[in-house]
Amino acid sequence: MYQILEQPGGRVPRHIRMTPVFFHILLALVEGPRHGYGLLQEIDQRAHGRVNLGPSSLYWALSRLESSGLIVEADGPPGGQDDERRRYWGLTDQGIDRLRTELAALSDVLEHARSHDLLPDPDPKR
Amino acid sequence: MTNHSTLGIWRRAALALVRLYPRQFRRRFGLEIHRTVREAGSDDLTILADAAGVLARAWTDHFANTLSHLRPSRHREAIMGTLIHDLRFAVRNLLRRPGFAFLATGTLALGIGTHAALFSVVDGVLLTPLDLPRSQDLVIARMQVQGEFRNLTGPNLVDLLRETGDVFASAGGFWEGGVTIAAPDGTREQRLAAGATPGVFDALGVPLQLGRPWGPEAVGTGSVAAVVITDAFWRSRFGADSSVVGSTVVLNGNPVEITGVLPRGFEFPLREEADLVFPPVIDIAAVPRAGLGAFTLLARLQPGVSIERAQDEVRRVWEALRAQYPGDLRDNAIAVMGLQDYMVRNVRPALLALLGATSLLLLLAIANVANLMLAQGIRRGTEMSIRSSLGASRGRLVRQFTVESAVLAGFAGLAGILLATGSLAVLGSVAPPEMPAISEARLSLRALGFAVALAMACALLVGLVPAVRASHANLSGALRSGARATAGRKLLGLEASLVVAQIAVAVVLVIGAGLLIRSFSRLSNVNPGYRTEGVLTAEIIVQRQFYPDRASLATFFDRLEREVVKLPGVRRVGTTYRAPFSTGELSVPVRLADTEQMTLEDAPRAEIGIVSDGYLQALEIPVLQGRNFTYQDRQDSPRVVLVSETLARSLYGDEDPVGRRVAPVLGPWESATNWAEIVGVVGDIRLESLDAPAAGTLYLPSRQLTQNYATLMVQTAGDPAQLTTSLRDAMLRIEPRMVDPTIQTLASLRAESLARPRFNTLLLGAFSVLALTLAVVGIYGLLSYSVARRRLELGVRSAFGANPGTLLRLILTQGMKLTGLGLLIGLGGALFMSRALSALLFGITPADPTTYAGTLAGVAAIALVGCMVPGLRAARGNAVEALRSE
Repeated sequence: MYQILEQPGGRVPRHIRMTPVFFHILLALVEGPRHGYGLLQEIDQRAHGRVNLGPSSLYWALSRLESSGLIVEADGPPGGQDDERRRYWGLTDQGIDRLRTELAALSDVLEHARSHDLLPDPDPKR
Repeated sequence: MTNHSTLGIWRRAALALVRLYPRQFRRRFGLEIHRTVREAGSDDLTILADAAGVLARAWTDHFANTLSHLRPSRHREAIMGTLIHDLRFAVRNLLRRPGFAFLATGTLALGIGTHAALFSVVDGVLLTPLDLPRSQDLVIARMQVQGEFRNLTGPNLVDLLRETGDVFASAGGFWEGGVTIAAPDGTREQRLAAGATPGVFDALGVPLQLGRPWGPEAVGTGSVAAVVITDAFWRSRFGADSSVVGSTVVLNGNPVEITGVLPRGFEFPLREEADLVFPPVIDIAAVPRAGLGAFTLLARLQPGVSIERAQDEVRRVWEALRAQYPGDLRDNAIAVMGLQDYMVRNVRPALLALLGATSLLLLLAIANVANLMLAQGIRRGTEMSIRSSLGASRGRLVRQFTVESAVLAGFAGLAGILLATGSLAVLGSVAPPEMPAISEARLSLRALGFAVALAMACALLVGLVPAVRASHANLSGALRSGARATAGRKLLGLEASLVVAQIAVAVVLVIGAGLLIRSFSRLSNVNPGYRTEGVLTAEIIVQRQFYPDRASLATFFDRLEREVVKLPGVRRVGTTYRAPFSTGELSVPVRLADTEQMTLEDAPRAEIGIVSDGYLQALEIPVLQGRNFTYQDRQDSPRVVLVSETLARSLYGDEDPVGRRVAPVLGPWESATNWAEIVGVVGDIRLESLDAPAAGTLYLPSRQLTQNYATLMVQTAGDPAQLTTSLRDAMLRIEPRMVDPTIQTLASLRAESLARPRFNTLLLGAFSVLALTLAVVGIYGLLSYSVARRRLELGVRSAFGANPGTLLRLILTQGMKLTGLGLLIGLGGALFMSRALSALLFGITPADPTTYAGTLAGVAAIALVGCMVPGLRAARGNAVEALRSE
């Protein structure tokens, strides 16, 4: 379901605050490494245009995620169908851990909101 | 691959910005970004905005990284990360509310900018010490007659210098003079010069940058024997040529050696900058002790001697002199003060008043922004509640708010600095020339630092209270019922008090400005008692060496008037020794022949005017009784005088003064026996300035008291400025050796005399407009937010039948109650503070009812306009929408 890549050794990654853009990038990489333009398309589709991401800010986000150790540059997808000039990015162990943590926190917030009748319960029978 | 040249303009602009990214980032991702820019999305502004946003973020991070490497600490990453996040959040928040951001930043910038500008001026004049070694040890001594400073005479100066060796390490006297210099093109110019005794250079402790001061051999030779020039004159006339020392300059027709050049930036404390410094040409101790003096004493205190001790010692010496020469010194006093205090004595009160006004304006601005932020804090109560529920501590929220106001204040500080620089430039261009403090002021480092500190203080002041308040907001209360309801009806408390304060301050300033405007209008229209339109004035100076006696001078001036009146366009000509709107009053006691027992103490005083027979006609000053001077009133004729109306009344009451005899005391009392007959009474005139009342004046005929200088008054048929060239040519044709005459219209001299009152009026007017604007913005802002917060309540009222008129009245009443309170407090403040303006007012009292009534009505009307917009918004609000939005 997802590919986890080894973080190249050496530098101590720094902690970054999880913004919606970072979150969506990590989410989009769950299914495997993607290149920049592919990420833009995936995020635009998934978030229905609610995430403001342009070419410059995408790579800015990628640079931040890389220096935090959450993603790393990867080889192309198995099969090597795509343009070999493009650079691909994939999740690291840390990246997937971080994604899990964020999803858990989000889940708590949603639960809290439901308990105050702010959101409809997805499963009314619960 | 897409060819770059076929890219749209927005993509190309975005790619240009990419080239400005920090190098490391650009190297790593530049190529990818290029590719993606070409492929992605549509060619519009968003792609450029995206690139610009990353440019800012990349460089911010780059600097943060650089800083963080300088100070390694365990928490550095957390702190830097949080700070940067807070900064970004703050900027984003402000950008989301551009109206508020603009209003708040602009308001603060106004306050900070005007304060920094004024502070620069105050800094330059009052706080920066003079550019002289240990300038705090330099003192000035002058005579004081009825509170006015007067010059010392030579004998008094010499005695003081001799007897005060205990307190003064070095001392000398200086005075103002004029010299005629031959310019390189052969014309003669009149330049301002300072005379000084040798002790002055010692006292100043200032080494010359070239050469040496003149020695004792140059003193008392009968004419100027040597001279030292100032740096400014050296640069403008001699091109800073170092070979100027030892060279000569033609002064008053004689070649004079230049022995040295004064250091840069140094000038004598005279009215204007002197170009040269010359030694005394006569033995100054040999002139009469009483009468007109010329000297100011300048001294350096002995080490360890305080100025108070010096004052006591000088007074003791002066009392001894008074006891020795009671007739000459009478009850005149001596005043000793620090040199810098003396130089700024006229400007200090005005500057401090201005600084006070700008401080007031700054407080107004802070009040305004605080109001706006308080309202914002209430509006964002819901946001704070949710963030609090997601884990943000109160401290965190407070810090966020404070960072926001710091960012606001930071931008305001930057804008304020720009505004200060611009204000100083504008101030400099409208300031009267006799206020070099203002016209030459520049933004000082201290003022800059002060502006930055001000901005920080503002950040805390305006940020903390709303931050603490907003972070108080109760979570469930806010979420359930909406923050708007909690605001309620109350406009009491902090917000309202701030608005009331603003209105009060605006009222005070507007009344002040109104008083000055009415005063200035009266001053501009005052009738000085003589004709000012259609008159040309020309200063004449001829050198005594060409006219050895009074008779030859009289003949010269007669010829000059005769020739000038023949010029086309000239109607009448006269001469006087003191032109209108010039300083340098000559006020002397007058002996009356009728009153035998009169002593000097009892004698009335009069201004002296020395005029030709054409003078009264040229200026259309009426002869009320008797006659004018005629050609018969010459050197060898019986002495005659004219008296002004005021003088006639003060000397003789209702009795006819014509035929009586008087003697002006121009020297010692005993010598005033040259009785002159009063032949006429003339109309009063305001000679020195338009606001000073007409002084009692005694006119002497110029043919009986001829000097080598005078001012020609030429009445013209048409525009006097058109005759400037022909007049100058005629004068130089008659006497080519005369100093190049300064020719000006009397109307322009009159306008120049109004320069300072005009400046005061403009300045206070500008302040009052600013204050009023801030006050109205304040009340508008407050009411707008009140209406926004009360949308639900107003919707409910409307649903229950309140018509738009009722809602409008509700808001207006609220606003006008605050306005009324502000007007009341402002009125009280104005009555109290306008007394400080009384010295600047002409023809109007500080409690002038028309000004007060007009101001109160005007401010009320403008405040009403400020209340109308939110009021109409409330009235137009849709009840259904308001309720639905909840």
